[in-house]
Amino acid sequence: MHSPLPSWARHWVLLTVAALVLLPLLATLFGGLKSLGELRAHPMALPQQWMWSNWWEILQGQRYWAQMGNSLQIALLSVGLTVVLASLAAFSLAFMKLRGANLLLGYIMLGLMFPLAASILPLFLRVRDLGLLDSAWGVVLPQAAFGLATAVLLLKNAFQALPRELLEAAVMDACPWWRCCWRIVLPLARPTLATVAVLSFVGSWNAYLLPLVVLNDDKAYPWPLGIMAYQGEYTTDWQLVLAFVTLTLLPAVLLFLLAQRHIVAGLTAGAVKS
Amino acid sequence: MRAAYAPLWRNQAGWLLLVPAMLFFTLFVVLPMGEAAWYSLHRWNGFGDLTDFVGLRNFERLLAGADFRTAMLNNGLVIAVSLAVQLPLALLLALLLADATRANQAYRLLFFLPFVLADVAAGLIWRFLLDGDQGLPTLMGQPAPQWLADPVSARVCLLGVVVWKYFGFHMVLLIAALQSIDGSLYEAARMDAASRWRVFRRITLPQLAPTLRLCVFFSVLGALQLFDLVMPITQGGPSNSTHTLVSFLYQHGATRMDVGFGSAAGVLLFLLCLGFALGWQRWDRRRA
Repeated sequence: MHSPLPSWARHWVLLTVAALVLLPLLATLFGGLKSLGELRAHPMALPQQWMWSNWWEILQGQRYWAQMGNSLQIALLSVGLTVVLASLAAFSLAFMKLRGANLLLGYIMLGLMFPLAASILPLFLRVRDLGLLDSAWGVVLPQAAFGLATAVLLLKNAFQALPRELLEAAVMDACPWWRCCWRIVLPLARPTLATVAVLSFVGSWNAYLLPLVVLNDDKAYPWPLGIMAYQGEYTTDWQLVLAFVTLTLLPAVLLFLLAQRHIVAGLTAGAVKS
Repeated sequence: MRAAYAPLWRNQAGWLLLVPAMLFFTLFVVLPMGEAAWYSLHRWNGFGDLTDFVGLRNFERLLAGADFRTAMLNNGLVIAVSLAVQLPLALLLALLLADATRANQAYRLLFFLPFVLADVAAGLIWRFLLDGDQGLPTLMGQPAPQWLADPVSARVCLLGVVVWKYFGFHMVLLIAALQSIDGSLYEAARMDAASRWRVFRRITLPQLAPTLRLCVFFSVLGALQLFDLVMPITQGGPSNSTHTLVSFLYQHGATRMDVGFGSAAGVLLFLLCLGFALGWQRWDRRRA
């Protein structure tokens, strides 16, 4: 209905864009399954000889699994901390009597405007002074703090959109706040909790700058750091680098395709609801 | 945000629930920004006491340096391309894919995919594709052009990758907005036999305006903070021609531990973001 183009032009545009999106990804997938000689000779073609050994070598090594494990650990801790802290704060801001509640909300909303990169050096020093360099917590704590603003905003709005009569009835029955929170509010706000979790998981899983500054020991590297280090070591062996890229991206892409509805909602919710 | 919502509980526990979040937020978000401002007035390597107060010298050094100005220019270019190329592209695709047919949904999913990939991984993919020794340039005959070795073409490459990576996000936002337009507006237009262009100008575009403004907001703030894509593709090279504010900050502040100088760059970044956000808010309010 909205299409400004005639049908043939529309298809042409869509196919072109689809090719531009897909070809680099396919070149990566197939490039990681070629020998170096073949990759250099035919970077864009299908492999003539499928070198699954590129993949096996990486999958049998420790490095790949260690990095994925580090990333998972950091992401899960970040999600947990963000969700807990933000839920408590949002519950308080939504339902409790607070003097200057608007001021407090405004204070946390400042976080929407603070770019992490601007204070990366003081953050590094803070993490160092806390003795958390090279540990997962050194990444998790700042990450959770920077995720709070969006999370609190989304959750507070979701909490206040719940049917008020239900909560008032609970209050009449002398339901203490913590039971109401645990038994009524949080279960009903589950979709928004999922959104917040997806947002902070994806943010943490893909984060680069903060771990780059805080982690020096390659045993603690999450995968974005690991992949860069790998590329640095195998600069000319692009077939291995591409295999490594493919294997690190595969879980994320599969997860995206399986849970696309929630992920798209999550990644765009922060945008639309602010 | 809702203005009036009478509290359900009136005890003091509300404060208790807020304390952890406030503490974290203050310690890791607000204080570091203040510290950056304070450090930016000193020369300091991050160890020992802050004694070498230099006033605004770091800012003078920053703004006088050619590399920093190039970095700012690059951020400006990213903003320009995001607004002049990426946003119209996203709008066009949103219009083409607004109807929720199966084929359209497959296209949407595909176009959103680059946004989901981590910047670092997407950057490495493009580092390979743009490499003169084995990537796309080799298809153009020998000797293959070394796109990433030349300041101008490296910059063009970087801008292209930015569009590739982020257009899907804006497209999805715009599709959501298109779908929430009240259909009866179009019914009325059909009754009047309005032309397609008129319908677009008079109905679709005004209805999309708030979302388009939001896209501008995200484009600019994202462009100002661009870093993750730069590192795998060019690392700011060749000869510092593709740095952005943040990659410049990282290189000077973090790798050389020039905390005062790096913090000055951080403060400028913060002021740019803040200034834009406030200006945008006024603009958005006036239009709404």
